[in-house]
Amino acid sequence: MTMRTPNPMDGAQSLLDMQRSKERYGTYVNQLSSGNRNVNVGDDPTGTALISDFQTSIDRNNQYMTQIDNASNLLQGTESSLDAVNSTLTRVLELGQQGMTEGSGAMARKAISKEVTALTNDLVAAANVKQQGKYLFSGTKTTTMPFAGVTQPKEEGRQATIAYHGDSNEIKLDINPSTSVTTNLPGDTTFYGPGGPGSATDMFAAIMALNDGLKTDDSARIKQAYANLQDIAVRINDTITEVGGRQGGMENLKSGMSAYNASLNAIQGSIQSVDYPTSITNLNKEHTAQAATLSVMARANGKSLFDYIG
Amino acid sequence: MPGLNAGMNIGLSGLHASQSALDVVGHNIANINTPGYSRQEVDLATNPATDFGGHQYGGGVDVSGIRGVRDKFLDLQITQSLGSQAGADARYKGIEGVASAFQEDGTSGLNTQIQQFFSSMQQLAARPEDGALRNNLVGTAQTMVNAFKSRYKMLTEQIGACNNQIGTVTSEINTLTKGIAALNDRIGTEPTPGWDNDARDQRKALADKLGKLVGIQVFEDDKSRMQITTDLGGAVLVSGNLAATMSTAADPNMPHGNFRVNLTMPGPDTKPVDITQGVRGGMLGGNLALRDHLLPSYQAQLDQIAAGLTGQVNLVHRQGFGLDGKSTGLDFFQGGSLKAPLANDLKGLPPGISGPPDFYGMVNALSVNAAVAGDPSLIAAGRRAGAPGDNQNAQAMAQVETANNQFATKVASLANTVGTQAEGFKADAANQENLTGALVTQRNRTSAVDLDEEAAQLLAFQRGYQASARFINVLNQLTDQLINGLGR
Repeated sequence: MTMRTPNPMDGAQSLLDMQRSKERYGTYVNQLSSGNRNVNVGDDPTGTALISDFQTSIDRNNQYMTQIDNASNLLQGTESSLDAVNSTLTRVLELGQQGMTEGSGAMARKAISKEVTALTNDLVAAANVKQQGKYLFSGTKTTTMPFAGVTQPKEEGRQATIAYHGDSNEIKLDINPSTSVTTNLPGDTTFYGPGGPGSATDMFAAIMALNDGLKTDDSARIKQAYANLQDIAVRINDTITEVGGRQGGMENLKSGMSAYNASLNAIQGSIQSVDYPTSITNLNKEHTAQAATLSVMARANGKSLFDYIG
Repeated sequence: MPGLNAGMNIGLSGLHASQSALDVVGHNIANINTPGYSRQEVDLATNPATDFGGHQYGGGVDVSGIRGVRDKFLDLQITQSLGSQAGADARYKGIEGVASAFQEDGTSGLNTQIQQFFSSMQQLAARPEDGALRNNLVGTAQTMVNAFKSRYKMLTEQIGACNNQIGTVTSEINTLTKGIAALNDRIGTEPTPGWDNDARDQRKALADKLGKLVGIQVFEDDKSRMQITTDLGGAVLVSGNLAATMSTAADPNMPHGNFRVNLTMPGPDTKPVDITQGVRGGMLGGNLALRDHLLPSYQAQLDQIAAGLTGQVNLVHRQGFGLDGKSTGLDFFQGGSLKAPLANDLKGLPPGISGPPDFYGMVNALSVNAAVAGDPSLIAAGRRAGAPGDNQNAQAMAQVETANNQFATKVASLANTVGTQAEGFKADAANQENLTGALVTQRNRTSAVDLDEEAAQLLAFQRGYQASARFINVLNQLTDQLINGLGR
């Protein structure tokens, strides 16, 4: 049976095929020029959602890594300040040792006292250190200078000390969804120690007591203050170690997150990025198909019986 | 009785028949590119014979009819298929128009803006006393709000474009239905069935145009008059020689100034029939679906995300203190008159938003609290009064985003929905296009003009005409011989 095939049919179908080929051609051009496989929202809806999910995870990890940097900066500032305190305490202990020597006279102790006074000021300055506009040792009252002025003891057995104006609150930062790190050391717990202000664990009270002992030539007081300062120096050292430990843990976490982000980026790229060889091949295919279609359309409409009549 | 005169008439009938057939060929050639045209064929039949001397003498030829070559059912299928194709096409184009707003490529997109807001919140948590970071947080909050609003606005504008399309299409539909009804009248009153081929072709062309504009069901009654109803619900568009008038009617209960679409048949007692939900195909059906279902559903999801996000941030923000150590109980975001989404009891994404009052229009009403934007020191980053370094509240607000991944998932889900629907309608339109193409190919095999065929016919009838003329010429010579040759 012969199928009737009128003239307009070839043109209409070829035109439709041509239009579709042009649409695909445009998509491949967009893919190649943008570098993205999905140039229209409907190209790969599942892929689009996956890209969004991966990007969210990557962004979150980047945020946490930024928080790790922020926490590290604060802890580094704290550690540097405590290092300075530690150095100062070492010198104070040297001077205390000199003051305790049996041969030291009142004059010599007074002379030592002057240096201890200067070192006391250094310790207060170290405790009042400020970084990026915030006092590191004032708890959450970060805009208030933590140590200023001398406060006299209110209880029996307590010493005069430098007054604390901060609070005892910690500042924590989230460094991953389930972990936070304390980024500060409140000045009272750090420098007053567990005994509190004016106690034997109070660094300022101890150095002021040492200074008083030197000024008044009171050997017993010097010895007691020296012993207290030795314990305090050990505690400050322990604190430095603890702060260093916090930083080390965060570095490990950051390194892990960075590696994880690299993996996420690679997976996201495999969904998002264009496969250049495939797209270029497809582009060439469409180009060839269009040329062939045009050629066929021209030939199909080339001749009819009318050309031979008359 | 046979004779020279009778022969002349036979020759004349041949001339007439060939001339008529040539006219039909010419008509076919002239209409080769006319939409809806069905090729015509001339039906020739022998004239009644004359009985003489015991013999039957033929009386020549007569044109018994001019027949349009068409498959009625195929034509109706094409008309309906065009409606489905146009409906899917309108839906796809409408979604494609807004799709860029939902593209999430990892560097732009709504999720990125949301992430940047919460990232700024985390940065503030690291240095809550820092005025620059507070300003930055207000900036990213406003950018995020603008990201919601720009997407919402794009959807609203697309809804407005749909309304414009619906209005334009409505008046075009009225013109077409009136034309079809008038042609129905011509066809219904034709002297013999199939007599008015061109009226049928014109009606077919109009019906195809109508099918592209509105989804329809079509059938022919016993007088070959098209009866046309909407594809859902069966409201009558054309019945015989009567055409319903399509009109739009404002409805204060509809958002965005949307209007209803009614059909009213002529007559004193007829009432308008609401077909707003009664059309699926054609540009009208596509635009109604976009306007009333697809685009509002995207807006509702934006409202839902915005309400959930701002409500939860506000819930935490109220519990904190500003830098001055006094201000507390403030909202970070405001929702204009929409108090509900910012209520304290909002503990996550609100349930699906179907319409007013709920959280409908949340994005439109959303803004950063003007007091907070004007004085970022009021951002309640801490839980303790007078502790500017306290970051507990900022941390808690940042955790709103990571708590259960709700916003990122919802935005990705919205992008996926838009993409899937765009992909679906595109495939649907392509499938319908293929189906229509196949039907048209099938129709063309029957009804389209083939130039080679027409050329062959032209030659055949030309020869027929020439032969008839020659036959008359011969009879004329015989007559001349008879009249002028005798008696010389």
